[in-house]
Amino acid sequence: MKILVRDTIEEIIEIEKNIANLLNEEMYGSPLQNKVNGKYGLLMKDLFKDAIIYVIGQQEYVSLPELIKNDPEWFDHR
Amino acid sequence: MGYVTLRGGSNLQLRANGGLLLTRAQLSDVPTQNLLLDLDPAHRVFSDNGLTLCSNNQAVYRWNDMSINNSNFIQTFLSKRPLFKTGGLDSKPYVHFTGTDWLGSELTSLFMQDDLTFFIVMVANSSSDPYDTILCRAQDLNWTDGWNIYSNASQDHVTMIRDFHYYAITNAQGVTDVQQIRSFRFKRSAGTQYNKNRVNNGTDSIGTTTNVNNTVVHKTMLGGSWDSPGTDATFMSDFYLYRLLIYNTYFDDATYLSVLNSLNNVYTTY
Repeated sequence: MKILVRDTIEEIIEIEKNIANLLNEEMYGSPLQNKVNGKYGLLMKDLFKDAIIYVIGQQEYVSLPELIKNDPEWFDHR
Repeated sequence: MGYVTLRGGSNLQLRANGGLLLTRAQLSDVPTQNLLLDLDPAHRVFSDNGLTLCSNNQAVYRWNDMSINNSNFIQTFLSKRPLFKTGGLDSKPYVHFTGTDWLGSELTSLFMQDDLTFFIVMVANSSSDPYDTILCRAQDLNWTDGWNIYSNASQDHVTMIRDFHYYAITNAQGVTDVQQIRSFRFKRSAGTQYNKNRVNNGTDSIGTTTNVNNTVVHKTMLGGSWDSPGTDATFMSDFYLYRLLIYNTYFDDATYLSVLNSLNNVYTTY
């Protein structure tokens, strides 16, 4: 699972809307907020790779960082 | 393709060629009395809001209940939908929760019952972290107001009522990459409230609970834990789900084992 990271929620929402539109969906995903640096992220699923690449480009897609499952920086944790 | 559910649970489906196909709901393999929920991947799994049945490797938008309660589960966020898969064990379909997916119940109060019994036919994948949740009806981070079924880092089957700090029961029969029936039951209508927990036809792990608070109205979540109501999930699990049954009663030992055996006749887990 890859994650796309941006500094602002507006940037993430715009990308989210563009991916959703390409896939004829109302919403692609809910943005996450990094609990350490405050940045915003969106999970990028391989299943929707073609649409994601169309929106952000092949170059950025291949360089997206992998999200570790239950990463405490991105998910609520005990 | 159009799709209509008839009284009695049968499905009337409009085929691509314009014809109609009547498929009977197959509930005969499990008891239907007191049945609150029956999620069966072989029926009523949709890639949209109820019109198009999922094909292999499609994301699941809606999974409709086979019981009479219409307790359906949905996920509106595309990136949070689990995957429908065909060709599982014995060629049966299943839904793959990948560890970033979850479905939420449309009904919020159906599972607020004093006594409940659960049966989950599933394969746990090997990447579970502590507290990774299979099924949850609780809204705060300590899960103080409901019940949960989750895994620890060893894939053991853990259940709790009210508070994981004090009332979690671990059943060490949980294993990875093997189809199992995981089940638990709790009762608070009796003088002594208690919680039992069994995997396949093995021995129960038994605990007690007190002052169960099962009154807060919110969704039940499948595949993750609803720690922040109205936002998103956390502690999501990686597993294949072949069947989920919830009964509005605390089964006695004989009935409990009988249902396990009925499910085993269908899914051959032990």
